Amino acid sequence: MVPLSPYRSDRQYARLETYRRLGLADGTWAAEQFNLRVHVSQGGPEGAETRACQIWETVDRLPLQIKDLLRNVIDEVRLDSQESFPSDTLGSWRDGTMRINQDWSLIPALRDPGWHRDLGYDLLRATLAHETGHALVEDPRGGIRLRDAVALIAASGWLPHPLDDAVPYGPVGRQVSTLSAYYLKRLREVDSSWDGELSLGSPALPSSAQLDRDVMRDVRASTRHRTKARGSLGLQGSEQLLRRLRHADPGRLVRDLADCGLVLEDVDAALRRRRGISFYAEDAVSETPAEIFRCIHVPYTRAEHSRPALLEGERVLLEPWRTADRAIGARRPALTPERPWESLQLVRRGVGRELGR
Amino acid sequence: MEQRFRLLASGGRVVAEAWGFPVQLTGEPELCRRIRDHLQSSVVVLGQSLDPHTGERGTRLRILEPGAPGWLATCLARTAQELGLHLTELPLSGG
Repeated sequence: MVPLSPYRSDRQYARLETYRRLGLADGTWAAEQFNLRVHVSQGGPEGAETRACQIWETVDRLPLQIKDLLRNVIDEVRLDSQESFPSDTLGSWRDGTMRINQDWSLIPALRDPGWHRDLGYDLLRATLAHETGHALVEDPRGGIRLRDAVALIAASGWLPHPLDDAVPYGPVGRQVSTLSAYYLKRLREVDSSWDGELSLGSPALPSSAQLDRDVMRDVRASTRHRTKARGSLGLQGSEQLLRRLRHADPGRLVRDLADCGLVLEDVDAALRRRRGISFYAEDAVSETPAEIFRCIHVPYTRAEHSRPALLEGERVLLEPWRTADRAIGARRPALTPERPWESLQLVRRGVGRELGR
Repeated sequence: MEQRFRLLASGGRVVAEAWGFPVQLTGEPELCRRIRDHLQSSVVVLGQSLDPHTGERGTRLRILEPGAPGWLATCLARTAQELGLHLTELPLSGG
C-alpha cells in the first residue's frame, strides 16, 4: 500500500501571465498561488530585478509536483545577494525557506560567452527542482522514510571498497531491496536511533550531516566538525570507487580480492550494475535523493545514466504523489484575481498581509 | 588501468574509442574529428555547496576543466547523445 502524499494540492495554478496582464506584482502571484512569503534583498546589482522576474517565470514552468511542493512545503522564498552565499552557490533550502542567489551575473563561470544562451534558465530550473527535492525528502512535517532514502542511496551505486566489505559484491548486492536492507542493518549497528520507519526529517533521527558521516567513507572537514565519529559504512560513489580501483596495482588488487573471496569481474559487474546519477548525487549521500528527484523532473546534464536510481526514485518520490492525484481526483480551478470571492478568502486567511492589501 | 570508453553505432558496431588525457582517439577518422571538436572545452555541472559556519547546504556551480576527473565521461556522454551513438565504459579488467 503506497501512502498518500501529503503534498498533493487540490487546485490548479494560475499562470504568471494572468497576474502580469492585470498589472499585479510577481510577488502577489507567488503569494496567492503558492502561499509563499517573498523576500527580495534590496540593493542588488544592476539587473537584479530582471533576475527576480526570471525566477518567477521559471517557477511558472516547473512540473506540477514541484509546484505542489512549493505550495505545501516551502514557506518562504528569498532572493538574496551573492555575499550571503558561499562562492558559486546558486540556491539553498532549509527549514521551509528556499534561498536563491539573485546575482548570478557575479558568478565568474557564467560570464563565459561560450555557454549556450539557455544555460542560466537550465541551471535555475535544476536548482529549484533539486532544493524542492530536499524539502520533499527531509521536511520535518513529512518527508520520506529513512528506509526509502537508503533504497535511493543503494540504487545510486554507493558501495564500500570491496576489500573493506565484500558482502555487497555477493548475492546481497544484486537487488536494491536486499542491498538497502543490509545498509540499514549496518546503519542501525552504528546508531540504533536510525529507525527506518521514521521520516528522514523527523527530529527523532540524527541530522542529514550525521547520515553522511555514518554512511560515507569521505566527508568534508566542515561536516566532520559538526558530527560525531562512531564508525561508518564507508560507502563511496561508483565513479570515485572505480577511479580508486583503476589506480590500484592490478596484480595486487586481484590477489587481495581473492583473499576476500572475490574476483575482479564480479567487483566490476557490481560497480556497473547501478551508477551515480550525477556528480552532485555523488557529493554526499544526503544529496542523492534530492538529485534523483531533480533528474526525474528536470534532466539537466546528459551524462545521467542510472536507470535503477530513476526507477527507485519513481517508486519512492513520485508514486505517493501520483496515488494521491488519482485518489483525490480532478483539481479545482486555479485561484486568480479574476475570482474575487476566493481572493477575499485569501485576504481573510492573512495572505493579504503579505500582499500589502 | 586507464579509463577507456567505446562509442558504438546502432547494432553495436564500435566506431571509436577514447581514453586518457590528452585524449587519445581511435576509430573512423571523420567521426574522431567530430568527437574531438567536443573535447576542447570545460563543462558545467552542479554540485553541493556547504556553508561551513551555518551548515546550510545548497547547489553550487562546478566547472570541470579538461582533464579533471569525470570531464571525459561527461563530454563523451554529451557527444554521444548529439551524434546518436551509444557510450560504454570498458571494464576494469580491460575488456
